[in-house]
Amino acid sequence: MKIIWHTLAASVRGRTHSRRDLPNQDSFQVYSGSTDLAVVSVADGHGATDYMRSAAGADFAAKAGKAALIDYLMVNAPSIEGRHVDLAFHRRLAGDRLPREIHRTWRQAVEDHLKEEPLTPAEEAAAERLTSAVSLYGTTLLSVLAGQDFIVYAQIGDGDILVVDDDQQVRRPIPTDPRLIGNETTSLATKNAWGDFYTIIEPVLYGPPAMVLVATDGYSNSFESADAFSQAALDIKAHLDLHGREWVEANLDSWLNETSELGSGDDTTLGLLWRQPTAKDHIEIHQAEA
Amino acid sequence: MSEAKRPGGPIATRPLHFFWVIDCSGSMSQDGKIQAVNNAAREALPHMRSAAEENPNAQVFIRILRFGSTPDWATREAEELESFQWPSLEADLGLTSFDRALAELETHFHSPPMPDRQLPPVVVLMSDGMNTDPYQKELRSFLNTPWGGRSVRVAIAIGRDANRATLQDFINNPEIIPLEANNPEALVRFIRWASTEPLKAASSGAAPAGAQTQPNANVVLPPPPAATNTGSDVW
Repeated sequence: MKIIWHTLAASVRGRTHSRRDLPNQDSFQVYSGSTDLAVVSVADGHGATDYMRSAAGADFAAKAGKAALIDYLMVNAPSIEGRHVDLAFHRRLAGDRLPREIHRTWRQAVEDHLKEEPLTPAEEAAAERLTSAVSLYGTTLLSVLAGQDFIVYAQIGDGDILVVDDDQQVRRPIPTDPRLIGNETTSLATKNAWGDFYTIIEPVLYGPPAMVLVATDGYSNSFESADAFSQAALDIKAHLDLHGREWVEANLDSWLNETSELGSGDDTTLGLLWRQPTAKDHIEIHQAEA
Repeated sequence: MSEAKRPGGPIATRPLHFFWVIDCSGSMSQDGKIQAVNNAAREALPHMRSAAEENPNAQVFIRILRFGSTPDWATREAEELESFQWPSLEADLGLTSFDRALAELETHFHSPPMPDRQLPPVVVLMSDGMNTDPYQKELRSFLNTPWGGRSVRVAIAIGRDANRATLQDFINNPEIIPLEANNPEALVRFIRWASTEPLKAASSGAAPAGAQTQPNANVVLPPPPAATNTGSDVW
């Protein structure tokens, strides 16, 4: 049976940046134009002072992640009914190819931007401190593609990907990176950034996730505990089931604003991928048939 | 669950633990040094609270570790900055065993007890003297803890006899040098800077781990106030 995936995303500027008159340095991209697949891609530009172009870096990253995932699926694994999907092959191929392609695309976007917008004196000084102009664009990236045969999770840097299964269990498909403590993160701006990616592929044939939550770290850093954060994923899934997409979309900005305002104060971006039909859709279908 | 209630469990600001590590050996009782530390710290507290208010999403906790022959916590546990009152420290701990102070400090820089979601801790070290025992092993051990190496570390040398090399080793960052306070006025200025700027810097945004050439470069500090020559160096 065909899986229909839906997406939704929102991003809010954090109080810390509002007070300093800085822009939101997070970015996101979503794709659900085709019923065969959906993509959510979120990125968090580094907030330390010297990363003066990280908002642009995050924008380039979210786009690079989305494009690379869609291209990979279309070229290497188009969904063809009855065709066997070699998951082990894709794990090897995607694990190597996707991070390199994302990194290459991102660097090209940065270099093109540098040509169009030369550095100001202040940016040059920052670039010298950071050892390269590319570093000014430093960012994380979390990208998820959900297809008919498998789901791809790709991440570099901090932020969180949570999966809610049909049995209401919340899990992390990507292991926690032990290097990411305090305000430290891995980054697309480092020279061999492709080596710092985590890329996980999971089959959807038996037990696709009910929902995937993808968020920059401003969201999880706002919660008192890991359990409190996991509860957010469960609550959102329950809202989608009970109230549907439009209702969640109408409330998402205010939820993110409240969470960031009282919690981390950081820019906060949340992306959702979920499977249809939801429980609410079932109810509507049955009511229509009655 | 009410209709549009925010998803998720309890929300909280991020903890920021601020440690004062203060030499309370016998030499600090001479020439009014420990009294000057107490006075300067009390004078700096309102400025520290203002700096914290500029970063409302960080909840600042204060701890004071006195050290001499043995380390001694002047604060029984981490105290919230809002209600914190600076105690009257005394310099009655004998010689200067920095190695023991580091070993004691290290016990608080693992995770747990440090919470995973906290901001980088800040450590301000103040000393007027020489370490009487080797400390390099304890310093390496401290810097190798998850939070020790990631802490924001500054140091204030009180008087000309302070061992600047030891303080520089502790900072472990060639971009930051020990501040030299040779009189009470300079001490006031430097304690005020040390109690506000590292706090603001630790509350600022993320940076790549190890991307820069300097250690501890995930947090960048602004330059400290210039040391002005008042012609009245006391220590």
